[in-house]
Amino acid sequence: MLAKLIKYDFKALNRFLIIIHIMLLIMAVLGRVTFVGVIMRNVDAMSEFETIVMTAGILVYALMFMVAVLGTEILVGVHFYRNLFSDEGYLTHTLPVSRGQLLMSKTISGSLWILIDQILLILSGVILVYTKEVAELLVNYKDRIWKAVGFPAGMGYGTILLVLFILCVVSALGNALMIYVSVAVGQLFSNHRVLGAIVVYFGIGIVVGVVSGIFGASIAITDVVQETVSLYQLYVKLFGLSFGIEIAVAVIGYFITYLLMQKKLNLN
Amino acid sequence: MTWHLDNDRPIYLQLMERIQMDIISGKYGPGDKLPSVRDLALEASVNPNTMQKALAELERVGLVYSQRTAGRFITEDEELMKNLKREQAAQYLEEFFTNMRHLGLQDEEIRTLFEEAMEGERE
Amino acid sequence: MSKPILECYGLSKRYGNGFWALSNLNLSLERGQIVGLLGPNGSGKTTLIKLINDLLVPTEGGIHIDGRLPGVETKKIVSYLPERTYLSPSWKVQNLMDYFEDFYEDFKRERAEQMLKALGIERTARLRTLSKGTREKVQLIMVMSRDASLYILDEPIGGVDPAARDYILNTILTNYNENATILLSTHLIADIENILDRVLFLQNGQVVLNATVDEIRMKQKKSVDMLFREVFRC
Repeated sequence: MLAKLIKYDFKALNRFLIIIHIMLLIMAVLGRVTFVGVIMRNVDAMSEFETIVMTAGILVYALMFMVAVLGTEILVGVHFYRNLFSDEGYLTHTLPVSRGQLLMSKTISGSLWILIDQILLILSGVILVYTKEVAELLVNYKDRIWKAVGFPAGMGYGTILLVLFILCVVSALGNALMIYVSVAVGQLFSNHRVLGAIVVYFGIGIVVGVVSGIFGASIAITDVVQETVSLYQLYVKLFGLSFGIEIAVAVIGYFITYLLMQKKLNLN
Repeated sequence: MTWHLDNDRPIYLQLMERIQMDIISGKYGPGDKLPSVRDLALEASVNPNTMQKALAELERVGLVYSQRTAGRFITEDEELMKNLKREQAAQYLEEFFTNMRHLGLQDEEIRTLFEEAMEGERE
Repeated sequence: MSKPILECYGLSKRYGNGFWALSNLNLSLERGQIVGLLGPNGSGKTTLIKLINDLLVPTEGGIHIDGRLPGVETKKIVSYLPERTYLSPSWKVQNLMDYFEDFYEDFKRERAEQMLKALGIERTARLRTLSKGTREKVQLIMVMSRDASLYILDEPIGGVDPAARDYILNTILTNYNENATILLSTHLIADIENILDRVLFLQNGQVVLNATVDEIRMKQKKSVDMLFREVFRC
């Protein structure tokens, strides 16, 4: 049953998200052609027309980037709300599946799409700027870059990508569940469900921001002031902090959402 | 399409009467098979359980009989049919006389009117 | 005799604003009957229906459906038509059938297709392109195409024209099987009185009358509709 739920959740999400992300990649390619391509050829001898095309290309790409970021989170939230708490909820909640399965399906489909979004955003950036010259730069000057940012010399790009990927996964989970818990709390305000959800979402955002700010700053300040650790060790600690916070948001969000779905469902 | 039913009397009684009428009037002949409960209920737009009850009552008075798997059939007892027809006719006549007396008509006047009406019918 | 299809014992529901929508409601429904759930607005009909469908949690007391608490197992045998239309407008009719077929083991696709065909509704039609009345019929067809033990129909004939009403009642009667129970809420009693076995009058969150239609007609010498108007006179 869980697999069937996931199938239908993806079906609903795919409709717009696939289009949005194809557009994003197309814009990245266009941006690469108009912007980076032009710069690489000759910056000084650019015609006015080329300047306009270049600016337009980069603007459209930036716009598409924003659409992808916001669009993904909004669509994940809207699907969650519509499927479970609008009139559609009358059907969804009377399917012979448990509330846990419903939420698990939403968690998997929503966070997977946010993860796909993040990966495609990075990929679009790579498409935009990763030219032969950039690649050579990264290989030839690796040691210097590493030293400047404080990474240990032996660490490869693979490790960085892996860490980035792990962060993406936990933040996708954290984002999805933050959206879900906001919607689940918001639906308690019978007449202002959407507004309620948005307020709760920003409320949680502020709390998480303040908490991670305080922890991050205290780690950084104590470590840097006391000069007891290297920059790299600080990175590791900050990574641990973000990892921990995202996981905490995801786990707490999941349980609160589950409890609200189970005990406080409020269909109009 | 649906049967006309009154609001103030039990539905099963009215269903019984209706089917009884259909039998007397010859819509169903002796030994004919009755439609299924479900079909009759659909035709009348009534609850199948109520139709079931009406048929069970008709069975009790002997107007229909059921054969285990084949369904329900109209009785072949001509005598019973004849009696029923007579009973129904008697009931109509009684109503007729009650109404006529309400109008303050005497027996002789009623007879004259009746015969005139019969004459009219014939033409 | 098997256990009742629906049992409510001491069922009470208080909403957040302190209003008791149901208070100490007791009820037992046997299999194989069509039951009308009648009552004025605010009498607790919708609350009762939501509780049976596990869309609300009782404040006190409980519900047993086929001997079980509302949950995954009971949802397999309860077919529910809410008052709202829950169809995704972007779906095609056949998507909806796929959905029901995927989740409900008792969904009979041929039955649904036959009824859709009789109404001239194309399987490839998008729900958004259908009229409101047609969408309501599609939803009823889905619900009645399940071989459920308990059907819960919330205002199935509210706000439809007489022809549509006849179609809906006909659909309910045609698909009803002797072992199933239909619980049907409505305020248009006169229209459906003839298809009911039994009526429940709900008032202030309690059952104030639970009798068969013919019992009422026999004892009171009046229709359920008339009795309702008397009991709930404003």
